[in-house]
Amino acid sequence: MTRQNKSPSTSTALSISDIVSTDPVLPGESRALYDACLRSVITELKATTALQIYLAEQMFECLWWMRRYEQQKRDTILREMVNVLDDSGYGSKITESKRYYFNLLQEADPSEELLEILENANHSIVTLRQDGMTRATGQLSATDARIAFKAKTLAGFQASYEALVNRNINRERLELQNAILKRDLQAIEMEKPSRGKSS
Amino acid sequence: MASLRKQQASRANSLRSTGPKSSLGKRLASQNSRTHGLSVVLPDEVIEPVVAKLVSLIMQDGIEQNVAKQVAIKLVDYERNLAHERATFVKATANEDDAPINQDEVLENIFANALVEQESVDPKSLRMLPKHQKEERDWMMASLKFLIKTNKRHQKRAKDNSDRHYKRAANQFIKALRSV
Repeated sequence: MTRQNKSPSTSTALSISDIVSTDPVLPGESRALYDACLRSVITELKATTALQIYLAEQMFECLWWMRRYEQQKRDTILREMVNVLDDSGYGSKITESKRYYFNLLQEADPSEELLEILENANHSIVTLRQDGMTRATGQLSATDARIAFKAKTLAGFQASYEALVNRNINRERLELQNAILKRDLQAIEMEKPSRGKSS
Repeated sequence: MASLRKQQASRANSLRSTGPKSSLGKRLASQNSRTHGLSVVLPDEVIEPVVAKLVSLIMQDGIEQNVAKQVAIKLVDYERNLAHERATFVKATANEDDAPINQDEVLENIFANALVEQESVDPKSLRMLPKHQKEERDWMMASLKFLIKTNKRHQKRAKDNSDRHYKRAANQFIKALRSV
């Protein structure tokens, strides 16, 4: 379980990710973008120790996953839009005609060809999208639940990171307070109790 | 409370469904629990060297050894779930040509194609069929629909289970970090 490409922060010292993590960049994703964003997060957080760097990496990975899931939602809607136009195949099987519709729908502006297909199917691009979203409701809500959990995990990592960074500061502050208290106690002049009888 | 008759009927029914009978059924049922493998406890000889390395890195933050060990164990578990999540995501979104063979998906396609084939039969020729053949066809169609539904449910359950494992691992890891 070693990371295939070392993260930008860990080029010299051994990091936690080097020991346990698998490659966080999935096929089709930009490694350069991932590395650049991760580097900026680590710099922004001023992570220095191994655990701090690992937590910063995990925070960034949560954000990356949220972005990934958003992309998946878009793809799901698009796939269902294609299924509305061509219901010939089931499951994840992509036929030639489906691939053709997929390419047409991915264009920024609807082409003449697409408009004709939509007219034949008694749809406009808006109704097709609505139909696709209705069909994909289950998948979309499941993806939304995963995004929500990633956001929750991110919040947990943020709180842990802050606690870890503040831990050293709090320890130093307590040590200083202790030193001040000790000094104050030593400064108090204790009166020596008199042994002689009072007359 | 159920009546005595109902209780007796329930007991009698339960005797009928005592697991798979055929060797194929037994073989398939033996794989039921192996949907993702995340419940399997890793052997000590595998996990200990990794944890030892992690503990030395975590202790750089001035964390006590026993606390660092707890964090390291939860961290390994979290990473294991994360790796599974990545693998599942890749499998789910891979192109058809690159995707590894998924048994559930293959079955789904077989059932679905059979259903499409049956649905595309000319209604005129169906009217000509004798009654028993019509009934047989209806039964087959209902079975195919049921199999598709069951297969989808099975896939969803496997996914939900791994989600549950991931959530638990993430929560436990964060909890361990909070205890630092």
